[in-house]
Amino acid sequence: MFERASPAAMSRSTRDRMRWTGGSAGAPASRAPPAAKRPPNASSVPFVKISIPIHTPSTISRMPSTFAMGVSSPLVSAFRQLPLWRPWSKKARPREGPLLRFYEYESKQLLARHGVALPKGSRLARSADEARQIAAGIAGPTVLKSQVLSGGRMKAGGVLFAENADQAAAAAETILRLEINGHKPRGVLVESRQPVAQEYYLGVTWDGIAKRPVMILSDMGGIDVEEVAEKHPDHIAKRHFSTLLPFSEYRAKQLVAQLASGSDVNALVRFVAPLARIFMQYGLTLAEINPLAKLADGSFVALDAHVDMEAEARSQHAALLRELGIGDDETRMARPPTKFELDGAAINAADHRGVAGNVTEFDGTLGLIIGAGGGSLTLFDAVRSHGGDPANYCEIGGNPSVGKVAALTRLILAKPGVKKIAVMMNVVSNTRVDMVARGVIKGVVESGHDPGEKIAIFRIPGSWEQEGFKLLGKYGVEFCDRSVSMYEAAGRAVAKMKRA
Amino acid sequence: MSILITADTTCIIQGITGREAVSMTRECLDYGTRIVGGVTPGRGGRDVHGVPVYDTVEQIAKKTRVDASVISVPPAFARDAAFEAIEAGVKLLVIVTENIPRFEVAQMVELAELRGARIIGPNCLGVLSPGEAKIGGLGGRAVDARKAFTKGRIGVMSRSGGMTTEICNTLSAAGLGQSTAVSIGGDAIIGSSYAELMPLFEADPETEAIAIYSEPGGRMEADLARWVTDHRSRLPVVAFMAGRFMDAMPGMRFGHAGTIVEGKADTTAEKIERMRAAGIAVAERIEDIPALVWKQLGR
Repeated sequence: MFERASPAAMSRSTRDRMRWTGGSAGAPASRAPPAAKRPPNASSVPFVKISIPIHTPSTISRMPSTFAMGVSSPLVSAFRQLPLWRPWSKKARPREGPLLRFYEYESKQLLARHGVALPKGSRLARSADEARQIAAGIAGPTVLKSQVLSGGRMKAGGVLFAENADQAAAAAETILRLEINGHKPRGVLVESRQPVAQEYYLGVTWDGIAKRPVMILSDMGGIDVEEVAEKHPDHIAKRHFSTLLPFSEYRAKQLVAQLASGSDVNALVRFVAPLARIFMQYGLTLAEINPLAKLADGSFVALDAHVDMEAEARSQHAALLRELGIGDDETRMARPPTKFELDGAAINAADHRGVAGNVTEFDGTLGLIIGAGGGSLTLFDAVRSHGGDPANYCEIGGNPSVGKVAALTRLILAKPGVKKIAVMMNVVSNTRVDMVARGVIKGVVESGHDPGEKIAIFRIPGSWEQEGFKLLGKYGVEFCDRSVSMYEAAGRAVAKMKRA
Repeated sequence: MSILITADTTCIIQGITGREAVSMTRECLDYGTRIVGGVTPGRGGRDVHGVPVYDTVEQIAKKTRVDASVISVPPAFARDAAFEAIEAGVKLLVIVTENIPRFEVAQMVELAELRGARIIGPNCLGVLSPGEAKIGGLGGRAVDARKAFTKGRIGVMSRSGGMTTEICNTLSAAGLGQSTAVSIGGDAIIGSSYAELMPLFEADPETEAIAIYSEPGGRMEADLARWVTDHRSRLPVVAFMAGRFMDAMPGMRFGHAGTIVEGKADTTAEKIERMRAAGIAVAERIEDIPALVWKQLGR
């Protein structure tokens, strides 16, 4: 919304808005170019573990490389836009345990529990009446913010200002009805709106190269922190900290002292230290306060906050999640998985042996049964580079049972538009070739098809391959051993599809 | 020669009585690895394929030298198992377990650094020095591992366990054996990245070239490119990049926890560019790797 132009160049109203907490809180909406941007230092990029669904191959080429969603910082932007909604796909869903993203009000509750100061009266309202009561309690100008897991709140009209309780009620009513990027708001956060003297950026995330958490502070908050890092590196401070030692405040002081002085040092430490401790305590991948504002009266408050918890850490922090009202079954994804994908997940969950399932739906005609991990990435690329049209991505590996493989085969063959399937993996170590062969043949036969006709290619070399190849030969399935590369095998499958 | 492990390396398996670990024990023994014990708390006194089982790592370490440990325990116990091995003086840990919270991985890595130990993984298949030893499930049964892995002069590092075998198989078929193949793991934070293993290969007189398998997500390839440039490495590197289809899908995660594109620098296109700028040859297909290795070797 606002460039950091000289105040003189700005209209009075713009300048005024900047100086108020609410204005900055949602401000970057129209300004922030939304791309998944790098944080200041290449090595400080957080790893997010989220899974989202896939689009159809035909949409891939059309897809913009960045998405305008309006976010409040590059770090946030990198995350906010990720998995939560995908306007280009009808098939959004998590493939596996997604990252748990907290709403702003939940993030703030967590921060407040650890002593982080919030704007006066910060509370969630679920109705216009509740908003009126909260605003009346604040007794002054308020900001009302839509609680959605989507960027672009400000731009979409999800952040409004009110001078009194009646205006607040009216604003809440508008916001509660407003759907943003397909998200219905969970509620409206009502907070006091106060004049701001200075904005900071504060974030804690993982540095995958250093393998340590890193704290990042900038005295140019509220705007694109990456841009700050590039253009004004002297306005960015960073410090790593230990995961073994208890967090010690001197680390926070070292960070803050690079950018602040006087009483601001201790005031800022009271935000940095709790944020670092929360990050460690709750298995977070991102904890961010942006903007962190110094108000005109000299006090500091967290204007906006963003917390993401790693899926793997979720079970350890069940108590906290319960207290915050986050249900065990809340995936925080924009839309439910497709039936095809749910069925795939159910097949995989049916028994604990190996992996077979975890499908992601595409619109193509060639069903894929491809090995998990790197093999499937390689094979998916290979199919596409031959001009193939995949109907799905899937994972198969470990030592899945024959029944599981057969069920996956049936599922993929039952998907409308699927003409043939290709069964391909890298040279396998701990998957038995004969078991996979038996499973896919069983699945094809049970679907009422001829394996020799439906299976475009079978390329899984490795343990028990002779037994597998014998079986495939019996059913007239084209197979190949390790002398045929993954790329070539994919090419054969695609060629068959084109002939069919 | 090889890096990390040789025929002389003594190894234990933590979680040895688990289903996967039992077959891994068989495979490793058949390949010639010196498995000197296994650990499963509460199962001390039993044996797995003739390997004695103990309740703690310390019990083994008091009796015999332990060079390496394979950790194959459920994620909830992985950190404790790693701490136990490190504090018992084990200097090489291969962590097979997946889905360990990132914070706990960082803690293991930090303790390992303090104690001078090295971690490979988590979420990896292990290490194999052809003709010497293999620790972990890499290559599967000994008979299969001998087909795909042959002794030679190429160092292999891969973020995918399965693709480690595929690449070694392709190299072997072209007459290029391997000094050591390392499945480094598919997670966002791992114990040893490409750049951290490079000095070991660099110091191994018999390694003449490096082949790597890489994926979208993270900064490990950029880190490798920087290392190669800064150290004027004598070793030519050939890389294969999978998951190119993911470039247009920021935020997506396929295959491994570490494969998520968060920004431009995470994309395969960016990684390829950085690696090429550092003189690393990037293969378009797996089967192009051997020819590129020969070319880089100047033969």
